[in-house]
Amino acid sequence: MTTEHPLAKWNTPEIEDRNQRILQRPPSLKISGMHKSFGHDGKMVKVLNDIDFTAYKREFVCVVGPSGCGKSTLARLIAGLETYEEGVISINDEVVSGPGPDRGMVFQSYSLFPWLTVKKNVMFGLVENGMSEISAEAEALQWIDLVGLERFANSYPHQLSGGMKQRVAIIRALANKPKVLLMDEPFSALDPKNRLKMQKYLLEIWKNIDITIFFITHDLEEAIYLADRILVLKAHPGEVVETLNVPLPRPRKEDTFLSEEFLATKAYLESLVHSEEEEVDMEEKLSMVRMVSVKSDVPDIF
Amino acid sequence: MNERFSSWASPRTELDKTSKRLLTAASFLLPILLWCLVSYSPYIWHPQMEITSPGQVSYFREGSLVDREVFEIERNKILEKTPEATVEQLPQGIPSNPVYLPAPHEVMTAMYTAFTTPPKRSNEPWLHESLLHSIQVIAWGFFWAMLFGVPLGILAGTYSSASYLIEPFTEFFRYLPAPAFGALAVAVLGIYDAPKIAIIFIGTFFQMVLIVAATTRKLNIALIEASLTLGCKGRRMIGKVILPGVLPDLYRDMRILLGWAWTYLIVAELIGTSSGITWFITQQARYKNFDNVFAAILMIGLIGLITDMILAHFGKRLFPWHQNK
Repeated sequence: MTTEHPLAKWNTPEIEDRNQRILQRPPSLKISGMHKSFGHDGKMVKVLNDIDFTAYKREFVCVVGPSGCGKSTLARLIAGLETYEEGVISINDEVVSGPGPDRGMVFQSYSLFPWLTVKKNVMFGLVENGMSEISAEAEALQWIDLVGLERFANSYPHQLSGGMKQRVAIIRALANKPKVLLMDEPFSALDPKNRLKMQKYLLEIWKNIDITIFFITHDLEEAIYLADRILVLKAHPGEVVETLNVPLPRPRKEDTFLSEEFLATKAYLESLVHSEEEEVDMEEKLSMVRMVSVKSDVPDIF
Repeated sequence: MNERFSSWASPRTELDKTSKRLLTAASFLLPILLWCLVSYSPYIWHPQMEITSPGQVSYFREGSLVDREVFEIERNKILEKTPEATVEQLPQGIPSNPVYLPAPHEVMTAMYTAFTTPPKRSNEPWLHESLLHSIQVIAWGFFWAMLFGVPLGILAGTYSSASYLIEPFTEFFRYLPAPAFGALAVAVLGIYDAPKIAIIFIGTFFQMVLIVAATTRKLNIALIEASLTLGCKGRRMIGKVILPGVLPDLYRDMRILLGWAWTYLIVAELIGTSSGITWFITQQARYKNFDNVFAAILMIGLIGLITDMILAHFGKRLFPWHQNK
């Protein structure tokens, strides 16, 4: 018998039960034997090494890892925006290659079409996939209602705040009724208050529609707050370290952030993600700074 | 007030409205002021004398211009011969500038009279006809350059394959000076408007392909990727994403390139039978009507500036979503 998982004591029977039920659902996104390298200065650098992962229907998966672990690349591979040497990606047991409307994507940078109004942005995918303008418009307006942007339906993206832009980007991707929604650090450009608001929005949307979410982030708190399971990657090359069940009950409450199990999970994730990132010895640098004389009216800030 | 001047001297600082207007006005007024000074105050330059009365100098004619030195020599010769010469016997004149530097007011009058003066011969065009002809040549040359240059540029900016196929040759060709093709153009296209249009085409087309390709490449890749994940594919993407995405920048490029087209105009119009505003300028220079020459040159500048201002104004209306960052 192996040693007990450090977070095992937080896994209450209800959480355990829910996790088991998730694993019994049909698989939605399946990645197997995935290898990916980038050519760099004539040498091939391995970015992802033998990734195997399955996300189940309506599951919320977050991916965390140190920078350079290839988590963004993984999302782009699933979206079909990158090619890979080896491996299979299947959505609902159908192998996919190249981009397609069954995988929606929300990008880190604002990717709304600046020349289209909010409404037309949301209609874009619908019309591209063969819906008539009239029914696309009706559908788009429903989605806009859902995120409370009725007043901005005819505004251009540059007139919206960062949070509003990402809300539109989310419903633009969802309007196509994808099986999987890929999100590549979508809230990293927002300030903390707006980020929390957007996270709640996202959970609310996820609760109400049939979608599997594959969410890339470098913010561990965000991952814990949102995810059912967290895929932890390590860098050089990118490999799966652990697939962690988040030991928090659903629905997540705002005070979750201060709960003991939350902090324990965060501490554990930190140990996984940052263990290999070598710490620069700041102490030495600081002692150098101390040698610089300070001529000031305020000699000591403490 | 002090604050205003300090903002003039700090790098990359937005100026207040009054300063902007003041400096814009000064940008035109300072050169005009310099021109006025040289023209109206007699001791800044004025290297010649306009004869008002020839006196005893046989070859002086009233109204003609002679160098000031020559005038002094002739005057001194007379004074040496007859020291008590009267005013009538001595040549008289007023300091003046050479004929090729007319005063501002003369040019201003010429701006108007050039239009109202009938041509010397009945089969020659009036000024407004010459101008119109020039504008037509520019418009056609630019139209053909756009018709081929914009699509090729967008292709090269979109597909790497097209870029490698199109750009190396274009890069080479753009170093060939367009006027060098003048004789060839006449041999192939005759002596009338066709070779002139061809010169403007050659002068702008190759630059246009490269500039449009560069502009297209600057389109945010996230927009293309977003459209891919939304199901937009293949050639549809050019019409649905790339073209609308680059349109405001394309419009700005066209404004800049239109300026280049004007610079090729004069050379183009000298090819074959001289025509348009260039014909007017050379003709007027031949008759030494330099006020008309200056007026015509100014007109080209004004037409260029006004078209650009109109286009800039329309640009703001056409692309309300576009912010200049």
